Amino acid sequence: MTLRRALALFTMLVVLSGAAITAKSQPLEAQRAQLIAHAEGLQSQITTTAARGGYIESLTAYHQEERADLDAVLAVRGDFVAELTALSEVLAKAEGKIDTTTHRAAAIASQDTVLAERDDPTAVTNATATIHALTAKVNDELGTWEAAHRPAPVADGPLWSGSGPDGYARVRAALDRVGGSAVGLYESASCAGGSAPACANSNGYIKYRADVASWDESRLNWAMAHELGHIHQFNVWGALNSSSTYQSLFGGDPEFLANCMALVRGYPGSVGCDGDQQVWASAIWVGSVR
Amino acid sequence: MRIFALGLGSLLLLGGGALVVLADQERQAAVEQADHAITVLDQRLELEREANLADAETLTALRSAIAEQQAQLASTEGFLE
Repeated sequence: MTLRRALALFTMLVVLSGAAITAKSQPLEAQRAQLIAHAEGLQSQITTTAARGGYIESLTAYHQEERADLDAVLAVRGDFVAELTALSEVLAKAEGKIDTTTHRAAAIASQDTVLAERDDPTAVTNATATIHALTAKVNDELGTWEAAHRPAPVADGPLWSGSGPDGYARVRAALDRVGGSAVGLYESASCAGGSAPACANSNGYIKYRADVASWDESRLNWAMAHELGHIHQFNVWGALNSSSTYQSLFGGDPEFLANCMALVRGYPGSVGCDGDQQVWASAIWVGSVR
Repeated sequence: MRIFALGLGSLLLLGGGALVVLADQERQAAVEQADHAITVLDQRLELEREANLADAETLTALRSAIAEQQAQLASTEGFLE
C-alpha cells in the first residue's frame, strides 16, 4: 500500500511540476516572439535609414561636383565682364562715327552664351577672347575713321623756308598724290637731327628737309608714301606692336614696314618685300592689323 | 517485473521532468538573447540616424552655396544692353 501511494504521490508531483513549468513557458514564449518581432522591425528601420543615408550621400557627391563646376565658371566671369567694360567704352567713343551694329550683335551673342554657361569655363574664356577681338576691331575702325576725318594740322611756323614756295608745292603735290591730302606738311631740318630727309610724327605731320623738294618724282613719291605709311602705323600703333605677325614678318621694324607699304601703294623704293609681307602691309593702309 | 516497470516508469518521469526544466531554461536564455539583440539594434539605428542628420546638414549647406553661385552667374551687371 505504502509503495503504491508513494508512487502515485510522486507521479502526481512530477506531473504537477511539469504542468507548472509548461504553464510558465507560455508567457516566455510569447515574450520571445514579441522581442523577435521588435528586433525585425528595428532591422527594417535600420535598412530604410541606411538606404536614405546612401541617397543623401549620392546627392551630396552630385552637388559637390556641381559646385566645383560653378566655381570654375565664376572664376573666369570677371575677365569677361572686364572685356565687356572695355568694349562698352570704345563703342561709346565710336557712336556717330562708325557703324557698330554687327560688333554689338556679336558681343550680345557672346553674352548670351556666357549667361547660359554653368559647367565649362572654356566657353567663357572663348567668349572673353571674342569680346577682346571685337574691341580691337572697333578701335581699329575708329582709328581709321578719325585719321580720315582729322583736319590737316597747322604748323606753328612757316610751311617752308629753304625749299621755297615752289619746292613746298612740289612736295605737297607728291604727298597728295600718294593719298596724304589730310596730312600736314612743312619743311624742317629737325628730322633725326637733320640726317633724315623726312619724318612723320604721331600728331599727324610730315616734315621734309629742303633738298627733298628737288628729288626726282619717283623718289619723292616713294618718300611721301613711306612717311604716309608711318602716319597710318601711328593710327594702329598699339595693335601693331602687339602683333606677333609684325614681329615675325618685319622684325618689328616700322621702317621696313613703311617701305613695304609704299611698295604696295605703287611707289617702290630700293628695299623690296615678299608676297606675305606685301599682303600684311596692305592691311595697315586700311587700319587693319592682321 | 513490477519492480522493473516501477523503476523504468520512475526514470521516464524524472527524465521527462528534467527535459521540461531544460526547455524552460532554454526559453529564458532565448528571451535574454533577444533582449540583448534589441539593445544592439537600437544603438545601430540611433547611429544611422545621427549620420543621416549630419549628412543632411552638409547637403543643405551645399545647396545654399549653389543657389548663391547661380545668382552670381545670372547677374548681368556690366553686360551690354
